[in-house]
Amino acid sequence: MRVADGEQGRLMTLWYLARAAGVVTMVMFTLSAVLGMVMPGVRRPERRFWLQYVHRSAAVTGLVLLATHVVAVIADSYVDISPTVLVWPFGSGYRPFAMVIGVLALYSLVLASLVGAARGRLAVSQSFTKHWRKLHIAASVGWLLSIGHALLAGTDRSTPWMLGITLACLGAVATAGAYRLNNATPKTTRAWRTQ
Amino acid sequence: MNKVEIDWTRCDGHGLCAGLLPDDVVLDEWGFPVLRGREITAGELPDARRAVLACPALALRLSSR
Amino acid sequence: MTTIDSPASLRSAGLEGERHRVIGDARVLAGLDQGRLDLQRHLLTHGPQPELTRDDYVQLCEAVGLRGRGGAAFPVALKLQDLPARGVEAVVVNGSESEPVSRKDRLLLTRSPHLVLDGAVGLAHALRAPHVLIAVHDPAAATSLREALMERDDQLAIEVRDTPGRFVAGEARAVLSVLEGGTAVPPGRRVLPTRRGYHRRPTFLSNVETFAQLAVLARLGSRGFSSTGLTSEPGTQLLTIDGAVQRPGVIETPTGVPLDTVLQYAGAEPGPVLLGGYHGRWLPQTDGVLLQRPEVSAGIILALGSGTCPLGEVTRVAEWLRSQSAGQCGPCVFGLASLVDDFARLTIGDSQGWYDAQRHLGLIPGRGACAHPDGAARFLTSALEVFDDDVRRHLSGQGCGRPVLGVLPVPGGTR
Ligand code: HEM
Ligand code: SF4
Ligand code: SF4
Repeated sequence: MRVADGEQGRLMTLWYLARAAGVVTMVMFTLSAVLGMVMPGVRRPERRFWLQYVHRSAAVTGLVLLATHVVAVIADSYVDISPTVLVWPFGSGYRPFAMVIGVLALYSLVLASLVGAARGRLAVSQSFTKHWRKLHIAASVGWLLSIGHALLAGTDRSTPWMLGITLACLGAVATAGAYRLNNATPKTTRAWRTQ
Repeated sequence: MNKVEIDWTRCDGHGLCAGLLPDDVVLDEWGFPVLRGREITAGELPDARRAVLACPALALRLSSR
Repeated sequence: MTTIDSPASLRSAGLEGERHRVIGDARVLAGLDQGRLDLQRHLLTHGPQPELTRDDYVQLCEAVGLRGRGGAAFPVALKLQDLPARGVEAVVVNGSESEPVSRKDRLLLTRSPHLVLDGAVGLAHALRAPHVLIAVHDPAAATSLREALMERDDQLAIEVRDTPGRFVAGEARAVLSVLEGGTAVPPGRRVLPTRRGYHRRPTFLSNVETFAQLAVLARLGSRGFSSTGLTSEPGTQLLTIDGAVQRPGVIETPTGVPLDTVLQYAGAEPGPVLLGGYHGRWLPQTDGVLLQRPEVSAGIILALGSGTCPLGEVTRVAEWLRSQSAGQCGPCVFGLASLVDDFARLTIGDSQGWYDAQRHLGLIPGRGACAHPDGAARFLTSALEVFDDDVRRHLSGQGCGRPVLGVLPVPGGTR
């Protein structure tokens, strides 16, 4: 960690805020992803409804924190990141590759949220109902990119606690994925269908 | 003038709709919804919207006619 | 009105097992006693197809109350009026004839393909539709159509396409789905082909016989067409009769002919009669029944005779109906499977089977993407009503003492 004396400490507040928001964003989206993956295995309607609620709330919370993270990073003067990265992340002065990954993660997550927000209203459209699940994969892509971004970009990326959190997130999703592959797919999905 | 409708080719019998709209949807013995088929009143509209949103298969829809 | 059969009007041609007969005047089957009508013989028999406008067709169909001959018996005039003024994409001839007993569409396509083509092409010109698509399942019918197309020049894109033979694959929207290159299952939304049909564009789709009747109507005009049959729905109709009959096959009769006349004509054994195919109804009695739409549906009459066990026969058909579900919709898949089980239990004397069947029959209608569960429930419900005495005998544990002969044809079954 950086040692900060008094004067620099105040200037650094935004930078700390940005990093904290980033970490919690990752945790929130991980929570959301884990719940999303175990959900199809849950047959009890009340429990599933409740899980959906937490899944969405975690995603929305994550989104708010993500916005905080992005605004703070840009506003902060400690590293030089201009707002243009949001449109054209290539060739950013600061850790360019990590920036590309992060911005792509942002795009995917925003797209997934928009699609999620429109879900109820677009249920009347037949093609939307057909493709919703494919569009929702954007959320998972976004999550994966955000983990990549965390591993590449963070100031704290090599500190044990940050590495620990990131790996825990990966592990949680891997466990949820294994759970889903194991017991959710055959019984609870459309196994009775011949089509 | 709203009614809930089901796309039977999508419905997987998750049964979330019955929990959220007990007055309009009950489940049959195989877990698939049986619709009452009556109009959704203005007061029930939020619940109906919630049911549409909650259906994992996106099989439920509100039709306005 | 009805001309009862006389030896003079009895024409039968037993070619390739496609037997057909006529009560009264032959119209759509005219000229077939000497075999298939090639273009020359078609023109000699029927004359050329007059060029009519869209308004002409609407007026003609309205005047004679023409109804679709595929089963739903929807008024053709209403279907035409539902099409938008312009932008009709295609005229689709549904020749999948998925009702296992029906032979009439196959007969028309193999013997009188030009009449069907005249009907479809004439209407396509009137509607300014650039495509005519013909969905067929039977290979002989497809060959006959392709041969016929080589003899004609209609200045239109006409295509013959094969469809799978499964029951539900013959449903109108399943046929459209196949024509578009998709799978032969009905889509989840009930939309009208007249609004969103072939490639989501307005489409006129009907059964093979409807187009043959349209070709006849265009030639005869409404007065000539109305010279026979019922006043409410004049003209003729094609029926397929099978089961416990001496002379199974296709019959052309005036609309409204008494069922007993047709049964007698085909040499049916006395016994219960099923009207409208495996989505139809068992009749409590046959006297006084006039054959007309919607009851005759696609024109299938099945005589059961008295030597076979009705419940056993119905259970075999129930099993077949279950196997024909497109497997998309839960209540249809689980409901039909349960009903097969209920009927099997009832047949061996388990009264719980009867109660379960009653409950399940109430659960499946209206709960699928297509009308298959509704039709199956109609068939099975009427069986429990009409075979009430047999049900009682089976429930008493004795059975009815008759073997299951397999009188009701089930593809892939014993017959
Ligand atoms: C605001 C954003 C989001 C909304 C509104 C939303 C909504 C939903 C809904 C309604 C479901 C279906 C629930 C069910 O099957 O019962 C779902 C499933 C899922 N969600 Fe989300 N979600 C959002 C964000 C995310 C995020 C950020 C992730 C993280 C990667 C994610 C991952 C998943 C997964 C893996 C599934 C399971 C998909 C499946 O069953 O095929 N979601 N989501
Ligand atoms: S919630 Fe959806 S999938 Fe589940 S039973 Fe209701 S309509 Fe069917
Ligand atoms: S109702 Fe039955 S036959 Fe019709 S589409 Fe659904 S599953 Fe298939």
